[in-house]
Amino acid sequence: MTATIDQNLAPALRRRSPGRPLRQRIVPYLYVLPAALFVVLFLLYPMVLTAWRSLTRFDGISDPVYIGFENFRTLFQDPYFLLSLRNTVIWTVAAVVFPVTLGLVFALAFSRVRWGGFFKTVIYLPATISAAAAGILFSFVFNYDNGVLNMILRAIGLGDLASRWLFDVPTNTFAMIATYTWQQTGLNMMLFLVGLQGLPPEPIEAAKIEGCTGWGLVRRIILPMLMPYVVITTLLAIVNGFKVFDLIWVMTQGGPGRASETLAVTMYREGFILFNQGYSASIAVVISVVALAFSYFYLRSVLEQEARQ
Amino acid sequence: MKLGKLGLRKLGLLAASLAALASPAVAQTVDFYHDKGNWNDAYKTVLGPAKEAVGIDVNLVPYADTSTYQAAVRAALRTPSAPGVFAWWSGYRMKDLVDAKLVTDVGEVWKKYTDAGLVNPSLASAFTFDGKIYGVPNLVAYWVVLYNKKTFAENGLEPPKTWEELEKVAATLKEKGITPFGQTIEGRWPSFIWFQELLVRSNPEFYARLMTGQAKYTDPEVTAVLKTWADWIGKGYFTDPSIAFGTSGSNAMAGQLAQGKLGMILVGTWYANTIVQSGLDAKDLGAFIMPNEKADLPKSVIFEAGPLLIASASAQKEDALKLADYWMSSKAQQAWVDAQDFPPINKDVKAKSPLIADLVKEINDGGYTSINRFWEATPPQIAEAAVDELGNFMLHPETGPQVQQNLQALADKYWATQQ
Repeated sequence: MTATIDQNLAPALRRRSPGRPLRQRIVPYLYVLPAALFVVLFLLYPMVLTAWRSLTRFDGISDPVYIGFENFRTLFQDPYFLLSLRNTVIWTVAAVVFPVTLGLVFALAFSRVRWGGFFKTVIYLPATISAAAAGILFSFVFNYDNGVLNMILRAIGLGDLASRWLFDVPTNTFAMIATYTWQQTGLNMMLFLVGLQGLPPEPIEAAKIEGCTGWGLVRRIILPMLMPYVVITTLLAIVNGFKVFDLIWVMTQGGPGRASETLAVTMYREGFILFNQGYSASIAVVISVVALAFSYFYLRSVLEQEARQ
Repeated sequence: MKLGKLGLRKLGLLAASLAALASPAVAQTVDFYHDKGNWNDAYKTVLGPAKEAVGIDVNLVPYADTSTYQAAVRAALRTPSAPGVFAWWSGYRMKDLVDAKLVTDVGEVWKKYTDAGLVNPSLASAFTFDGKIYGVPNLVAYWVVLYNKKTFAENGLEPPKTWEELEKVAATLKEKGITPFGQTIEGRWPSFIWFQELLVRSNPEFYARLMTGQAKYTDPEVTAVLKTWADWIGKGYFTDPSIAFGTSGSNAMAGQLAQGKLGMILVGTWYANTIVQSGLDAKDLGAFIMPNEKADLPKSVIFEAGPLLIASASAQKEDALKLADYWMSSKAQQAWVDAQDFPPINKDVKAKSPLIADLVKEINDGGYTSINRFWEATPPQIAEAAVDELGNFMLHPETGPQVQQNLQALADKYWATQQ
């Protein structure tokens, strides 16, 4: 269909274009130019520069030295990179399993109940603060000596369970994932609520008349209809989980040692603490390639859904 | 074009304004970058009068995060918009800036004060490379043991003069239910504190060789230090290593010392203010230099010297040099010491507190050798990774041998690139 329209329009456009004054033909491009310049300057140029830097040895001060793919070779033999990669996979899986599932559960639970608005606000509220602020807040909660969590445990006679939540491995990663879940769930819940509001009521009513209620209704009717939103939210969660940095930096700085580093933290540490900026760029390239791959699937899902609507 | 009466007047006014702009009476602005957010007011107090004294208006640019600060300064250093003056770290941490010719020789500024006998020339050692001095002192701190005098008095204790006395003090405090020493890995870097001190107290000459790659982390001297450290951790002489030290806003360690729950903190003298702010009366805060493990070792004290540097490429370089001169003056240094309670570097300047005054007197009169802090004495590529390894050791003291191997692997990797 699209091809047919294009074929019909093309000769007309071709006929008209040469006749149009030059100024008229340029004007649309001028409107686009500022935005395009911004994209080139602040997105494409840094991307190309980072890709180039990943092929160099560069300390941020001296001139970069071209070393080919040496950084990438070192990367895949570096035990800290591999540890970081493992942590990133844990984070990515957790970022989907907990915030997305809980977001869906809360959306389903609060979509049509009394006081739903209140609960939705409470769940969404943490999403309005930055990850760094959430990290600082929960650092106080998880503090060993005077953190709220250990104080509660000691007060109710469970002092033995009091732990160095942010200093023991792998407990600290789970503590940070809990913080991340607290912060992200509200956002996912909102996405699912939008999806639920857009569902056609007829199939749901019909199913109810047929006696399908409760979990059966959710599993057989609502979830299948909500699936495009599940896919989008999941892909978005994967991309966000893969890039997580600020929360970890604030809560553990990737420590103790380098035990809780993710790829983004390793990249920052190599680039801005050890000033191995070429090596850091190679980690950035790996993160970008993976994030771009998932972003591609995400965009494709979104566009397909828009086309269906 | 004809100029009317009004036009001529306007032109005259314009010329006068331009002349005023070019006049030396108008203060020149020097950007002053630093990452010590809580020092900003003190800098304001000290540098505000520079406008009247030397005609320089200082524009303070504080950064909250050290990593961001380092990255921003390093990126700017090659450009004319580089800061006139910026706070940095000494030793190996400024070496790459010196090697890349990004900082200015300030030898002339020093000469004025050393020739007048006001400043000890040996203070410049931490900022000297190939005989040239590249920084003026931002801070000088001694690394000593700060203790609660009341806690000591209540338990019949005196500041120890020997290693045996130190161990006895620790054992007594532990017996009384008071944690003898503070230690932490919060913020990563503090994990080098006890490592450097135990090494300096047992073998300062070995410490110096280790810092420059002439000795190994797998050598028996390091094994012995880790053994003592692990032994003390096992005896419960240290706080839990997760205790807050101030890097995340909370200062539980200082608070515990003030409350008498903790006996001693091995730390830079700059931490004294934090303890006082945590509730301990300044007169109840004492300090002593940790005794050597062996009585025949020379007296030494670990020191930290942070410089102010001037960017070579900065358009403000000449005015920055004038500002550095002002900063070294007795007037500015007295204001700085009064604001921060740092050890004075200028002989005309009086220490603010008796604690610092007594300490400086003891160091000057007692023939102490100053030893540069681990953080600056060894290359950052080693130091930054070493603190993570030492942090692991503090959490799991049984991993000593593995930690030593990891540390040596780091050192080998770095020194191999320097040959």
